[in-house]
Amino acid sequence: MSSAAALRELQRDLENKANDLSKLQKDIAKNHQVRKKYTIQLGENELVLKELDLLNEDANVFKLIGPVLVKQDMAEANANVRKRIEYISAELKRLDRTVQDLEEKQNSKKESIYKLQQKIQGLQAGKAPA
Amino acid sequence: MAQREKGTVTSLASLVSAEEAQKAAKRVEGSIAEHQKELDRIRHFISDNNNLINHIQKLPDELHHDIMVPFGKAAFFPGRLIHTNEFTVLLGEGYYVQRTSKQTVGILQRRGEVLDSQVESLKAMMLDLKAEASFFGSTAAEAAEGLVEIREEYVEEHPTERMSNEADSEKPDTSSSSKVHNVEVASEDEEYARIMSRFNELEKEELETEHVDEDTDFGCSINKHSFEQLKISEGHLLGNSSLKQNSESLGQSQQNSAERSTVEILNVQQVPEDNYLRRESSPQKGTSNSTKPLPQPVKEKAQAANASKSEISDVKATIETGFDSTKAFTGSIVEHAHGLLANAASETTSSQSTGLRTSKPVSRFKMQRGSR
Amino acid sequence: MDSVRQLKVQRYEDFVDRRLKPDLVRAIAERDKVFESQKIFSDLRKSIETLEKNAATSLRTMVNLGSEVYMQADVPDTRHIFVDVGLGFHVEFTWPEALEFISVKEARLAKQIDEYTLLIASIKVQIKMVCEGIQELLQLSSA
Repeated sequence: MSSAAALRELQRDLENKANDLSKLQKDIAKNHQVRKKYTIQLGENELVLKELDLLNEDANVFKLIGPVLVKQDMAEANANVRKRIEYISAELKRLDRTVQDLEEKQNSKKESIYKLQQKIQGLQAGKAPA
Repeated sequence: MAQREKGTVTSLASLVSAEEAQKAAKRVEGSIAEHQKELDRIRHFISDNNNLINHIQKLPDELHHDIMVPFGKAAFFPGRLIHTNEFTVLLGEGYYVQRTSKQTVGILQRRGEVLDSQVESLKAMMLDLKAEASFFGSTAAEAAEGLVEIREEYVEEHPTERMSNEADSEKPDTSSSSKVHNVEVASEDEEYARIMSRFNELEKEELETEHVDEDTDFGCSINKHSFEQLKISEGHLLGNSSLKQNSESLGQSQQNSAERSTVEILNVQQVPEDNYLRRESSPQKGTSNSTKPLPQPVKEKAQAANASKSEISDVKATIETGFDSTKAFTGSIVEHAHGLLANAASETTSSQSTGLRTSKPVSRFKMQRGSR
Repeated sequence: MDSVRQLKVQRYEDFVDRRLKPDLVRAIAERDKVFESQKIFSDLRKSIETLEKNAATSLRTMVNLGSEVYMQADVPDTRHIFVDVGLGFHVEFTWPEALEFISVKEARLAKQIDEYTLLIASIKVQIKMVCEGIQELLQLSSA
């Protein structure tokens, strides 16, 4: 009787862990998506910077803010784009770390689930002959 | 074995099931189609870009051009382009810059270069995929035709010498290879998955180096695969004992037996054991028919069998172990259960599900309904 | 007996998958198109009203030459506007004429949207009906 209770306990535990795992996997997938978005943005910003670097100091640069084009100082635009690139790169690194962290967590979860499954199997095998 | 055999014959269909290969080919075709679409899209961009460059180069030739100025998407005003050497170009991220015609053309040409490089990489990718597709396609066709692979070791010695030599030299060789095999292939599925992942690896490598030497690579891995399988499957054939059957029908019956036996993975192990036992009694039959000198091979075989027996206890799930010893016995017509197992397993699951279906109809919509 | 029922279930499922669902997708896409042109015309109406309010007789704007490359354009006289009336024809209107046309067009588009909405609803009902039928078949066979 006590073994049956223990089995139930283990199975509940297993269910919880499986839920955690699927949550982790979702997080990882989400992270990858965000990463992809940032990577694209980074590429675009780098292209902009390349073109800005090719411009003369007196070129007219505008930024589209809402529906209107606002004239921007060349140096300012350049600095803004650089800052943006820096920010995105930092963000990408941060994401990398998070993903790594999540993957580690996922692996340990998988392992503990595996162990639980074995435990349950062991219990069931022990129960069957009895 | 009516005549003396010294080579191995493998039906390709048993290596790679035609269905499986066709599925793979289809998948690759789909991916090619996707890439083709992407390529067309980029090519469209490029032609647009080139047209625009031509256009922009001509615009400053006149002080102004009479045009219909678009007003929203559904209306126009008659008007004219002015300041024909003044362009405002979007660089990206909401940044616009004022440029002359020449400068704009420069920007557009740089964009064109980026697009060109994209086209190049896409083309290389498509080339790789096409090679892959044709490989899968021809494999499927060959497997469906019942093509067989015949392998024969090149041995110069006199038959009697050969046998004794084989007994001496081949045994370590096979046992070592069987060990390698044991390590390499714990189960058929795993091997299959590994080969597929190896394919993927190779593809990636090739994309990076932009080299097209896929065919040789594929060939290599397949050969290795088949080489291992040749050995594995001998037991099966002996178990079937009807050697005169053509390889195709053999493959068929074998597939059936494999299918039956793979309802549970545990049973898979039983197949080789079963065959193994039968094979133990078979040497007499095999050797009495053959012209080979008897004592040595039989003895050798017994040794090998013992060795493999111990190996079975050593390594779990080694379907192959029992069969490897027969390699020393000589080459023989060979059938193998290898590639079949993966699909046999899937077939059984599908047949199980269909079996379920017939006993109790099910609908995919049942699940959906609940969520509605 | 079961296999006959299974066959029927299969056929109903195919009907939903191959006929009704594509129909639904198509109808929704068509309606989206109409929505889009509805927005275009309401934008145009607003723009003309703005012009009227400001009594703007001339206009300077930017024309997209493609690939987000713009050039300035001058409209010396805005009193005459060419409006797309469909099938690639553009008709020269004065502002009041254009506004009148737009209101007629908008009414037609609204009617089309209603029709499509009805169609979509009926397809959805059909899908539900067939699913219900499948369900009943399954219950019969399990009983």
